[in-house]
Amino acid sequence: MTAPAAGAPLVLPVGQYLGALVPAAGAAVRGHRVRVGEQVHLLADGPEFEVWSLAHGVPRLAGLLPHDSAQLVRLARAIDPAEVERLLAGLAGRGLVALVDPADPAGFAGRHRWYSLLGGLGQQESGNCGLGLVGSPPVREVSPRVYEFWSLAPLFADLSAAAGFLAEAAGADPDPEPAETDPDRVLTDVVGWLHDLLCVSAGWLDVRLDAGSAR
Amino acid sequence: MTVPRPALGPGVLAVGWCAELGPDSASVLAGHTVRVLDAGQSRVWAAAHGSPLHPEGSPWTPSDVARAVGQPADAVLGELAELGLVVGVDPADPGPAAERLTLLPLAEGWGNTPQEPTVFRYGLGGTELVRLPRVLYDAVSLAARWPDLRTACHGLATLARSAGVPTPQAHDGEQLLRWLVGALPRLCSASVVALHPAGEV
Repeated sequence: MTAPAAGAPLVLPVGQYLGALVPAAGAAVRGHRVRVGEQVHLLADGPEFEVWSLAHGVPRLAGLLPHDSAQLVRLARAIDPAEVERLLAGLAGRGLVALVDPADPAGFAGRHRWYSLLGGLGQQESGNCGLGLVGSPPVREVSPRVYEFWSLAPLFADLSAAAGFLAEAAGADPDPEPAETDPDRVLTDVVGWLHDLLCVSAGWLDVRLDAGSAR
Repeated sequence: MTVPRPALGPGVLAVGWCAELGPDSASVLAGHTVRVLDAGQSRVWAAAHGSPLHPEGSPWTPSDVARAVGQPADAVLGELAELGLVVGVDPADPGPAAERLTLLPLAEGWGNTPQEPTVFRYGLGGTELVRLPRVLYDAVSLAARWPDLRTACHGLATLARSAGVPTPQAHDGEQLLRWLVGALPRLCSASVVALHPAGEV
């Protein structure tokens, strides 16, 4: 993956999408519900929802280009760039997107956790691992390391803890790769993998349990 | 001394989420625990999810599981129950089981449309997986906000009453719970939701 544009933060969507809400037959979409922690937010249909949707990335680009705010402006061609920036700032203010410095993701990672969607379909002929519905072809193939994150991250309270576990597990390998045993480097990798998963609804980001749970 | 296992049923529910499916095994994550199942166990565990065509409210029984795998399944269901990957449930009185469970969606919540405002859908990509009334859709989408399914249904019923939701079944927590649990064989088998131990998601 190429480096993000200088100064451009990675854009990561936060929240579980609960779908469009139409109040009555023939009426316009009232908005789109997104749950973050214990709060359900309503995103306006149109540019606001489009920007939040695009923050998930697009399958043809995920893993190849950094999904930063500059990239999002390019993808949201129908929306004025200044409006995209304004919408992003508003979404970030409501906790619906995180703007993350890829060189310093620790703060974001300590405040957010991962929930997986879909099912794990195991290793495919390509050597990569499939994600999708059991009994159907994979909707996406990801590298074994991304797959390991996807399958185990729901066990952990936040992304930092998940990255720490992956680093520790890699250290137990007989011939460990140094980059895979350093928790900080693994965390940078994890943050770089998220769009690979988010772009096909293979999971969602939420605030960490004790930061937003009803419990 | 061998302690006889209590009989499962009348219905069974599969607990956990398929983190990795291999040719001869499956890794299942249930709450904070990962279990690796052999081929026989993973077939029975998969069959314990139910069927998309199963009538709502009717229990998905050990006999249904045996029919789905084409052989007796009681022994393997017992093993899975000991691993916490299958629980027994009575859809007419689901409270005791529901207090030990919660659920998370596995697919995309699509909401409703101007053409069908009373139909809320879950799907994946372009494929619709299930159509639900709003009350059940919200229960599926939001249950994990509460510590367990029974508490969730009571919390959702309180919200429905205060919001004046025009569906009487939504106003009573126990009635809503029976409705939700009765739909689980359809929802779990369609990969719309996975059940987890309460307090572990």
